[in-house]
Amino acid sequence: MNIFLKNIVPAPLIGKVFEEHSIWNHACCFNAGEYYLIEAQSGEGKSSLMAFLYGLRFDYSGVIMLDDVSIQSLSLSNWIAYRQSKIAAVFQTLSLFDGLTLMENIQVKNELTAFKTEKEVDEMLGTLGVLAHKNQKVGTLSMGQKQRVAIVRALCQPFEWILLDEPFSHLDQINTGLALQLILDACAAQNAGLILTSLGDELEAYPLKTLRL
Amino acid sequence: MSVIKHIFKQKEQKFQLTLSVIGLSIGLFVSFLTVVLYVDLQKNKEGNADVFGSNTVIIQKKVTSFTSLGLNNTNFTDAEITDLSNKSFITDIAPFESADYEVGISENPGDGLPGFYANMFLQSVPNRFIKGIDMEAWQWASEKDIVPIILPRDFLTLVNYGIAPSQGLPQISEDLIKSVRLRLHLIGANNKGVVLGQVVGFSAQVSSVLVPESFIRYSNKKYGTTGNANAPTTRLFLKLEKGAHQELQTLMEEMNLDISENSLSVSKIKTYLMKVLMVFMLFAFLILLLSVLVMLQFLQLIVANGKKDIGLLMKLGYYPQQISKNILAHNFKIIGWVGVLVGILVVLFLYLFIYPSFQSVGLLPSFLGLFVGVGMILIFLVGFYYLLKLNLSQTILKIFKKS
Repeated sequence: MNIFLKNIVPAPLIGKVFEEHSIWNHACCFNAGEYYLIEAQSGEGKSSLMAFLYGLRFDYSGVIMLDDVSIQSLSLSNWIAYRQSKIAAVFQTLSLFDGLTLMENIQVKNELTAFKTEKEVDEMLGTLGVLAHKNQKVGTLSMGQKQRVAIVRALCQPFEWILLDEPFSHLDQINTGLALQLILDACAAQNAGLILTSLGDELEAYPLKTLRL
Repeated sequence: MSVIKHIFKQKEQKFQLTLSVIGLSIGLFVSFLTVVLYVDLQKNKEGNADVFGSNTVIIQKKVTSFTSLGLNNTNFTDAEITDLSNKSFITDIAPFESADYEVGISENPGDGLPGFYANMFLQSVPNRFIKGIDMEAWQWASEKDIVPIILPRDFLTLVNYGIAPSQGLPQISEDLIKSVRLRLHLIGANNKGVVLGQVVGFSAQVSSVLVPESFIRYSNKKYGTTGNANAPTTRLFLKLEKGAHQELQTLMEEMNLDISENSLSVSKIKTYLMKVLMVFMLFAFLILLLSVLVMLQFLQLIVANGKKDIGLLMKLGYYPQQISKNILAHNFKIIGWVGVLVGILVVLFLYLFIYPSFQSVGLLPSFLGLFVGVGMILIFLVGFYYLLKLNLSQTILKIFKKS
């Protein structure tokens, strides 16, 4: 699935003049199966772009196409179907259930998709070093731990694209590397594409195409 | 248990749920019970149980000590009969004709009934009073014909609950006794005979064995001991206007008359009971309606309290229908159990307390009532479930449609 952006401008930024290479107000294509890193400073609309692509916000001008489908034409059920099998996401706000345990948070997704076995989930949690907290309430975890839970949860579904909105902001270099590698492996296994926003983590070592807002 | 039920369980206001469940239990219990009884009564009223309509009564004069001494008698004079027939609320009147000879009744060997013999007396009323049985079957023309019989219901009760247990005999159902022949032993002063009879119906109102008029007249001629064709009239058969029981009661007191206890009380009980049942049913439906409303509110409150979580779930790829199904699954399980429990309780209640007393007033429990009652509960529960599900999905959609 290719993603085309045509003259997209978030409502809060309408009227602003954008640079030549900016995604905003220009034509832009995310090719299926490729990995993109979007770098920008705070307030330039990274989270907005993610919200547009995930169907959470519609306050923009311009056209977004998923292959030949304009996302403006998608209904809520269409979006939910995409979220079940085509687009995975890690939100900046993480969107975890604080009252549930780490494992229950993952089950919420995995019960819906039945995509991973319990063993596979344990392996992923182990790789990211949070398996020990499996039965702990998410509300009691640190931000870095929560981010890793959200990443594992996002991987518990089939997808063609994974949207990651500053997913490593509370992780150190080593854990960032482990998490990104886990995500890239999952992408490779499904020929899926990746769009990652970042404030400027040191990710030069990874095969990511850098774009700017 | 699915994880997402877990999310909403924390948000529940137990008070509302409890209130609604209590209301549903009471509402379902009362409506189930009243519907079953109503159907039972309705079915009895239609004449399946009694061959006479509900507006027929039998009257006689009171037997007093003077009567025993021979100072007065219990015969109705022609003037009295004319007087009665002139009352506006009495639409029809007829004397009983009685057999003028001794009668015994016994089984017909080989037809499958245990052996018995009982003394009886035969009477008849004009055919126009007979209802609820096939008039084709209520014909008798010649001695070769089987005599159609209407048995007093008490007779069967006596056999089944008195004679049969004490003698170790099997009990006899109405259908069984209808399917076999009985022997009528007619014993006159100069003449004896046996004819075959067959039961075609039952009556709780008449305590004698009824046969067609044609048979009484024929047999009185053949076996009669006194040969008196104009035997005195001691009992009268009346047909009343609807709801005229009260007037009759007053008249009876004035004329020192006796109403055959069964006949009036049964029809009265039926009429009053059905009215009372209607009132109860109405209340039960009201309670149910209120409980449904409380339940709807309860679920909407869950949605309102869990708005954030529902938003998250939809973000993760849950359809509103899946979410409402999960919220309902947990709460509706309780309601389902309430339905099952109430069903069992009502059936127990009916069989332990209500149906035993049915017999004594000549009513018959019918499976139709239970069937209708169970069907009603099922329809209610299924309808309720889909109503709640629809309402939940809509509430969720309404919240998230434009945000």
